[in-house]
Amino acid sequence: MKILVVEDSSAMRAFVRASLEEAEHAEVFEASNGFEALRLLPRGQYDVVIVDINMPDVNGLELLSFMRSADAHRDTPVVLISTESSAKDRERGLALGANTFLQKPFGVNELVEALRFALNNRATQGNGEDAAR
Amino acid sequence: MSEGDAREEFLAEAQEIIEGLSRDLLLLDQADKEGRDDPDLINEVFRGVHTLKGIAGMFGYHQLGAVTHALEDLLDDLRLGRVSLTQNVLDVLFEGVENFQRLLTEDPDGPPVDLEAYAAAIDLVQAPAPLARETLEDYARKIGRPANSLYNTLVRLRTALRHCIQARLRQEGGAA
Repeated sequence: MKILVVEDSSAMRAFVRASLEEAEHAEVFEASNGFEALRLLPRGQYDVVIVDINMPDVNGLELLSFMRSADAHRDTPVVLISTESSAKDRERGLALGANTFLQKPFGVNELVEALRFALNNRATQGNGEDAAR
Repeated sequence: MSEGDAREEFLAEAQEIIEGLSRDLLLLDQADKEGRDDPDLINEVFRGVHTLKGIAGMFGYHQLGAVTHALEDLLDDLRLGRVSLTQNVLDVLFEGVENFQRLLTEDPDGPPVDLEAYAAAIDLVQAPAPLARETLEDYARKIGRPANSLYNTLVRLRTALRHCIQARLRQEGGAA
């Protein structure tokens, strides 16, 4: 499984990488911001993209919006992560077509659960339906 | 990458953020002494504290997470103009960064971090601004209630909230 993690914190990226390499034997790729993700996306067929909402310049919601408007990434499962507990971010993200939402801090089990949920719920994305657990 | 590698990455990033915060606070102090406002710098400090809060929670540094959370609220008040930047506020911010450093390195020979006293210090500089009091008085007049009674209700609520935070800090301190 190929996973792209888009997150400006190197510690967060390292946590996700270590967790998913260990728990899912996944091949994890990293982007430290939205621009880098835009460069990496066309180069690989990622099974899941994990995106932090709060990033400078191109934020997670903008990146998600771009992905859903591009044919190549319209159906790629996306897990949104954020420190905020705001219902507004969650609603906007889900309306934009995120497959699930994960709030920091989270552990390995929650991460894996979110990943599997996103993979199993591709069909509901992009139509505004609540794909959250 | 192993869990140990990720932890090392956390320690390096947290240290980098703390050093950035120290630098930014010195610049903020200098700007304040020269009578200049620097909202961009306040935003930068907010962002650093916000990131530190996020990663501290992920790596089990709960006390560090609690202090960053309290300071983030103060910085949010500063950003939104609910609290003005004064020397007292700057002192609280500098003390916060010192606490971050101690909580990160957990130096057994260093002085212990008095989280309760620090929470009280934050609370002190977050007291209602004169503008808030004035608005409250306007509202009290409108509804025909004594302003002091409304004001006291707010203060009681804040005190109760502070007690909750202190109890939580004590709980987390005991669990660490």
